[in-house]
Amino acid sequence: MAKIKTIIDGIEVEVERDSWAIDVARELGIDIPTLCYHPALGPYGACRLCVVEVTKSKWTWLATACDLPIREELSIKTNTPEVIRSRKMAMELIMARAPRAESLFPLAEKLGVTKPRFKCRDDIGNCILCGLCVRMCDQIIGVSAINFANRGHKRIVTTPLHKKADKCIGCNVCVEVCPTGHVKTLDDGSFRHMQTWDADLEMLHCLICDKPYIPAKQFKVISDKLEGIELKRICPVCRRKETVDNLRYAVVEKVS
Amino acid sequence: MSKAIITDVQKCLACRSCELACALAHCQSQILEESLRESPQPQPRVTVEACGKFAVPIQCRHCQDAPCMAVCPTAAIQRHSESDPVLISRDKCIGCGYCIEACPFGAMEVTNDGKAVVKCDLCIERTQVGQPPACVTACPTGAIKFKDVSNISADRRKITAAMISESLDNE
Repeated sequence: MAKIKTIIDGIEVEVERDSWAIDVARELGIDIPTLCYHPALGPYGACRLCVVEVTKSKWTWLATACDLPIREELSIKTNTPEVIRSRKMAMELIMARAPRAESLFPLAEKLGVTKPRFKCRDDIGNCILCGLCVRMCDQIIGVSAINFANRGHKRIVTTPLHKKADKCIGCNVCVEVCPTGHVKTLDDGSFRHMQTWDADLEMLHCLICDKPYIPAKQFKVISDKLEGIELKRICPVCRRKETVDNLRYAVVEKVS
Repeated sequence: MSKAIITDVQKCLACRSCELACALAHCQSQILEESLRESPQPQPRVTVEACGKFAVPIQCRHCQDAPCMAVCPTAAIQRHSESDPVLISRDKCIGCGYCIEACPFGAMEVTNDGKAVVKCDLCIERTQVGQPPACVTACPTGAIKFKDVSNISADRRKITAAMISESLDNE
């Protein structure tokens, strides 16, 4: 692969063609705020917080770093007044959409936003439409139980036809990747309730300690993926104990 | 794999020094007093499991054909070469827990914040500078050792030979 010279904040680096600008910058230790970016997924560019100033010969413009491939010599600056202004505006819009998302407060403060100038919404929870849950469910888990619905300011993340998500396997990835804590789940004995998607999933019980430990649908997906290896239906804690028990049998009882 | 953590199960006291050393080696400050105030709280990658009077530390075995690696949907679990440990990339891990379910030993755990999975990384940062893993250094009885895999059978052969010669002497 051809190497391409690029300058980021005055540091000259040689990168492979088609590397993403955000990966290059982060490798250099340059901090670029993001909410919709995840290294396991492709570029998306929804949150607009990763904007940087790009200069190519005479031209200068603002671009999102997460979907900016480096294909020719570029000069990238991550800290100009224009960049700071643009990031602040994006953060204000995000905060107006999810004013009660506490996990965003530190980032908002860092970008200089205390109170958005715009009218705050309170009818859509804390969802900022970053699309992480939708993309994870579709591209990584391969289930696609949720997606976007409606357009413009009515756009939301929801289940097909706003009904119970019958395809959901209860893997909880949407809960873990959500930057604002909008997606909620509750484990309640024999069921895992995906509250945001209105899905109730039956849990499998450990054959040894009888505690519920994994949704039955998720167990099936994992065992299908591991062809040829039979999964034990015991929880990880009991599995450790079983390992020790097998060792004890091999060492102590054989010796004595 | 060239080197592995080997436990002499008859020497383990279940003192859990390895757990403490492991948590300390993988926290931010690496200082015991300061690590207590850290957030997220330090977490060990090794668990001492007891079964009756018998106890043994359980950590990742770095399987040759690792099921966790096969099942990971984001390819966050990787090994660079056959002699390298199986490692989780913190950035790519999404905390789905597939690997926890696939691990036959129960050696993987979700982090305290629930956003990722952690397991033994054979103290890659320490071994790169020639130090043994933290649990090996911390073990007071020398039950945990960091050995070349090829030496294990050689050592076992020596023990067998010694046993045979001893039984011949007794006759």
